[in-house]
Amino acid sequence: MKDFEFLHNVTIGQYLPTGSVIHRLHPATKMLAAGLLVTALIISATVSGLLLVLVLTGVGLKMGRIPIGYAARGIRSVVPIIILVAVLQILFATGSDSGRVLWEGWIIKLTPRDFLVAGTTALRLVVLVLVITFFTLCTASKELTHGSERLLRPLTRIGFPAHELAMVITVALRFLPILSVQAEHLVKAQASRGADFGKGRMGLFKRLYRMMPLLVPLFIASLRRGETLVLAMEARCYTGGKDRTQLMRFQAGRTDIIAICGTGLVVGLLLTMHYSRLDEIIWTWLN
Amino acid sequence: MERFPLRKIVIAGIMSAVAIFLGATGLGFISWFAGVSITIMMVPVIIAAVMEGPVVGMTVGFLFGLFSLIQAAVAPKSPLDPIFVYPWLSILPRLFIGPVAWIVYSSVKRLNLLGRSRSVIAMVLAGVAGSLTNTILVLGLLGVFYLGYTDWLTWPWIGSIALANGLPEAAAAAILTVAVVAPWQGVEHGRRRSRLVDDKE
Amino acid sequence: MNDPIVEIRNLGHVYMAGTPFARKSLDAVSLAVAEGEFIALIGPTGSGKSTILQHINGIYTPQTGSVRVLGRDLGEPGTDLTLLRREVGLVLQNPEQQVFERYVGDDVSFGPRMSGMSGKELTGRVRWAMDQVGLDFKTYKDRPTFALSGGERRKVGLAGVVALKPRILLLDEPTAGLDPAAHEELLECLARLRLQGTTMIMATHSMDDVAALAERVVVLDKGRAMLDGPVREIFSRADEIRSLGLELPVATAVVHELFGRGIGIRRDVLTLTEAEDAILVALGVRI
Repeated sequence: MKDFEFLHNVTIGQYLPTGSVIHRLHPATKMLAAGLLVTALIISATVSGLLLVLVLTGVGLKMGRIPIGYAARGIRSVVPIIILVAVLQILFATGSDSGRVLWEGWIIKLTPRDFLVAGTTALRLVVLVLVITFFTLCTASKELTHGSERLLRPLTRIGFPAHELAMVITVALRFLPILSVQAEHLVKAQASRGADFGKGRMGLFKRLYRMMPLLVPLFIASLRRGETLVLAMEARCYTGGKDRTQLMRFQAGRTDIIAICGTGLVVGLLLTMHYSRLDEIIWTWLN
Repeated sequence: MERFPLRKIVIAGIMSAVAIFLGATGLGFISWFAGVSITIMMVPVIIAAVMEGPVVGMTVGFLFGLFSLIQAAVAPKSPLDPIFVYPWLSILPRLFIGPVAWIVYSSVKRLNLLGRSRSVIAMVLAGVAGSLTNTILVLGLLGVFYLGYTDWLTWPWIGSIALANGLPEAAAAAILTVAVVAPWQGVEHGRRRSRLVDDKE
Repeated sequence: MNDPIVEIRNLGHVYMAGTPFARKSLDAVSLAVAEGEFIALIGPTGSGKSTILQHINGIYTPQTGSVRVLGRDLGEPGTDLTLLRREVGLVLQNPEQQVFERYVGDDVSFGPRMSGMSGKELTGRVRWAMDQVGLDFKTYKDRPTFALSGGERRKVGLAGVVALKPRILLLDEPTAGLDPAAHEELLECLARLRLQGTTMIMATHSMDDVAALAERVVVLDKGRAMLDGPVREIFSRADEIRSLGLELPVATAVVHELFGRGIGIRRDVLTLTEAEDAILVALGVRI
């Protein structure tokens, strides 16, 4: 019966372990590279830059021994939504009155510029989604703890509790599977005494009240487990901070330096393309 | 370590996990009609803030935001999801849910004139305030940055969503905050007896 | 023997079927239960005890083989499982976790309320259920659930299922984690329910509970029923039981130990009183 097992395997993205050179990078490197790329893509959206990142992500996937088809399947669900947004934008976008008009009627006016703007937006979203997907494919969720702790370490000098934040992330990630088991148990227990969790048509608040037998104990049981965890960690004399050693050690090596430099170069290129208005130049040249 | 006792770290981690869990399983969305659904994913943020203070609330809000950013990219559910890959829409507003909920909770709790039910009133208002913070900031930023992203993304549309989704979400957040925090803190409220009718004579 | 009210034939079950986490939990189990029987399911962790219980009240529907309960074929797609669950109550492990209402009376009344009962009838039903589990109705009905002790809360959870007046009561580790006094009270409560004619199937690790309550034992191992018979007979096969990694009831273990040391003593002993008798007979004090 699938009804009661749907809660299992909560994953953030999909990790595909291949043991490649990309997978073996220090978690902090992967997080930093992904973060830099996403930021650059958000600041600048030039068609030329996006195409560059698209090609480079392809190369990255190859190096990560992740089949391109596999990664593409991941973004398949996003594409219809992006196309919808793009079409709406082409049909209804206003403002760009200058230039040629391809077709005009009713409230719709099509200009080549509309297509460019819509195309850029759509492409940017596809590339962003692809980059984030690539990141989740090559980074196990447990690496995030180490990565975030390493990345935030410089901030400890100004008093930022980097270690504590990393610990919060660890607790959260470790707790997710426990939460799934707990929720499954509660769904079964309440169904056994007649709860139906609001299938069928009903008002919003009636539906919320039908969910209460699951939601309330889920929160309470989580808080209880939290209390137990605090006691258990205190009993084992847990003290956080920078002097704490780790069972799993990640050593940053030459590949990490190369990866960071490479990403830096790409980000630099993207920003140059953006501020030199490369797209505009190509566009006028094409016209 | 003194500034951040273990309890705060653990509660922050656990409530973040609950927020992520609600999002990943779809339990955090309560469908209404015609595919419209409200979210209760901000409830763990509010509960964390009410129980452990603004910093814990902000931490849970941050992780909840980060998760919704990834979720928007990897498994979008609505036409607007793709623009939630931008951190100022998915993360920034969520940072404020906890602190606002905490400010409201702690100041209302101090009002003596409300009598002994003041801590429950404080929980209700914290739920409402936290949830409205989410609604107003997300939709407000959407309006400021993306007006005309598509033609229907206009202020009247944003206003109608704020009313249609924001108000029920605020009510749901208030109900859940009280339902969880009151028993946890051993606060009795309301009828003070079960709903069973008397069956004698 | 009457027609069985539970009839399981060649039941197989794979947990999380079709995912990388698939795990076989039942492998062709057959079991027939007659009305009014008290059956104990014993076996090591992961032997399939809980999975069988969850098949009997329709949480799981059979993947292979068949399950018939109270004349209904649970493999049939049209079977109304919500109706079935009102007649077949399942008390999962740690039933205290499923308590979600603010007041004891409301939580116990949840099941009957969901089946449409209300008013004085509902109050009467709650009173009856609370009596059965040994919670005084007047004292506890308006008590906030958060103010209960662990043992009381578990009784409330149990009462919430008993309130459905099920013909078959399924219990998963009902006494696990209770202190000795609460344990004793719970056993009394189960004995009381059994006197009402309720058919009971209990999965447990406590052999003393089995000896105290059950009349028939089914021993499971790796998703198969290895032994099935009257309690006295099964526990006299000490070597087979131990080879499956299971314990004997304390009293049984004592007389087996004495027998092993060359003392002529009868070994079909289940309770401490019987053991005392047997020892006195063996010593020649009593005939």
